[in-house]
Amino acid sequence: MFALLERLCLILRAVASAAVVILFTVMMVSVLVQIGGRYVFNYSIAAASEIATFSQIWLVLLGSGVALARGQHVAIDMLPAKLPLPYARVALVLIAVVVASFLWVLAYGTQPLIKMGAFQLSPALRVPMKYIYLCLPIGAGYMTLELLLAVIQRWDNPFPPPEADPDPEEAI
Amino acid sequence: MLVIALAFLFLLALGVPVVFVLGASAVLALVTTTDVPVAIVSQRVFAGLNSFTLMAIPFFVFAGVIMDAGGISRRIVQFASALIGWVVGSLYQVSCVAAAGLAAISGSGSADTAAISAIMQPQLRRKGYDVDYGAALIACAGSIAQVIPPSLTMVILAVVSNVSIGALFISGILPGAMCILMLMIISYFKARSGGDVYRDSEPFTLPRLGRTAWAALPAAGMPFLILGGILGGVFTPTEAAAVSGFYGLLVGAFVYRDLKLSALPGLILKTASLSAAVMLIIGTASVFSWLIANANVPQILGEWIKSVSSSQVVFLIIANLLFLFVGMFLETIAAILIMVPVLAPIAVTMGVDPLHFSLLVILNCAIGTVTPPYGVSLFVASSVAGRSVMQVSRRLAWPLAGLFSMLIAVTFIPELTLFMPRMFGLID
Repeated sequence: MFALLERLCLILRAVASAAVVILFTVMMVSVLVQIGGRYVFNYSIAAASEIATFSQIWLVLLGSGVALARGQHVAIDMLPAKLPLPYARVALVLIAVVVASFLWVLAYGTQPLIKMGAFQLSPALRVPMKYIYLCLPIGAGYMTLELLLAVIQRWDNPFPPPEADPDPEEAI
Repeated sequence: MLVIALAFLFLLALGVPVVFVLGASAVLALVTTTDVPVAIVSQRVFAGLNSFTLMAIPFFVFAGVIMDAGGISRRIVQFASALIGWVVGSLYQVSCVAAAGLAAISGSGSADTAAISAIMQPQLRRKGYDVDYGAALIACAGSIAQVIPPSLTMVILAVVSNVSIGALFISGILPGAMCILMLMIISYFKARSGGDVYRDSEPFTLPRLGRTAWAALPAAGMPFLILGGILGGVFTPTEAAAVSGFYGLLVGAFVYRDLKLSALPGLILKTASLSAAVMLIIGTASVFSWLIANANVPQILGEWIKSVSSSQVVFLIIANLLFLFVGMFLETIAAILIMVPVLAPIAVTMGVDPLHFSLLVILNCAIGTVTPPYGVSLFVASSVAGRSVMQVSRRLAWPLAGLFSMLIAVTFIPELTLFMPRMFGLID
């Protein structure tokens, strides 16, 4: 069961990572094309900034899941790290419950947006906004999965002490 | 309201990631104090991210990541060392100058702190310097990357409070440089009374300075590209950020050749997850700031401040204290999204120049990232140094006093902020 969840999560993580790399590239290329279009061809491409903005929204929601897996969402765990194991496990589960509840609210609250977004078209590209709003429930779902996996993986050592940082840039 | 504040602190202490502490307590406040459907949460998160201007953030993060991978940080340290390595307490001085140099390329205080710590801490340790003081100093110097342009914090602040990003960038140069200079002066006196280990410095030679300056030159092109592009009206800030990322890519891959193109997907992934973590905070914090606006907090607080005193000086002191207090506990971006919409309108009615006020906010935010219990730059500097936050915090008093003295100067001498933007004709 756990193995299955872990495999599913790893596959999704690979998909999300690839998607995020592509989204960033699309974002950067469209902004550069926009500049080029303005100066080289004297032509302003309205669609370019819309493509870039929509890529950014998807990038943040999918990237947040990847950031969860990499432990890049800053938390202060000085206090729970001092707790004895049984209590630390309670804290670990409590944290996951809080985060999951928020993600559920985030996904649930998208319903009216998606209903409305079926008819609402984006100004430049004329795509239904539904496809942009969908990043919220999908991102929230993926984050919840990563969250579950993190609880299982950290069950025996809920708050590992920070080791001498091999890659200090992992915090921003 | 008290219940929500307590819930907020409880979740924070429990170890819930800050971004979700903000989100969860906003939902709690929404459900308990208003009749607004929770769907507003999704709408606000979406609206917070649906911004072309904020896209400068992932691009600046990318520029920083790519420049670091391309060996820029190392070359800047070598140049700083050739420039000022002959002074007593040379490693402290080099740390400060290198942090300032990197700040002109990187927009993130914690990334700057991390890069400088990674290079300088092993040397500090080997030469027998006070490692804890070194970490405290690097945290302070690195945090100033938020004040020296380009700066992610400034981009966010400009979006929230509608000041020009270009003018805000320029206004940070002088105060940022002064902060670094202050840290250097303090460290000089600290090193001079420290003992023999601090006197082991390298002699100054012109050829070495020339050689290292030449190596660092392509990196120096970046701030000119960004500032020149924005001020000259060639690029919008977002475009300038994208161009600087592209420039970094070219320099790393073709000039320095330290960057392998096969490493690019990994670096992009790192950029994306770092920026996603930053930007999701914008999303959840904007739910919070909507709530605060909805509860009329700006008006109520404004009335209160006016009832205390109508003096500009008193207002600035209150605003500084408020920001410093909040900065001790709250993440920078969240502090801006929550506090600025409340305080900026009051500042305007008090006759404070919006640019002056914005830079005060930025300086307070920078200090907030080094003050315990919650300060990212402090966390990063301590963890790279392999010391606990407590041990480093004990050494924080002097560098922090330096930053405070500059905060006081910038608060009461608006010209320090306004001089350069005026010189460039950005304000009257």
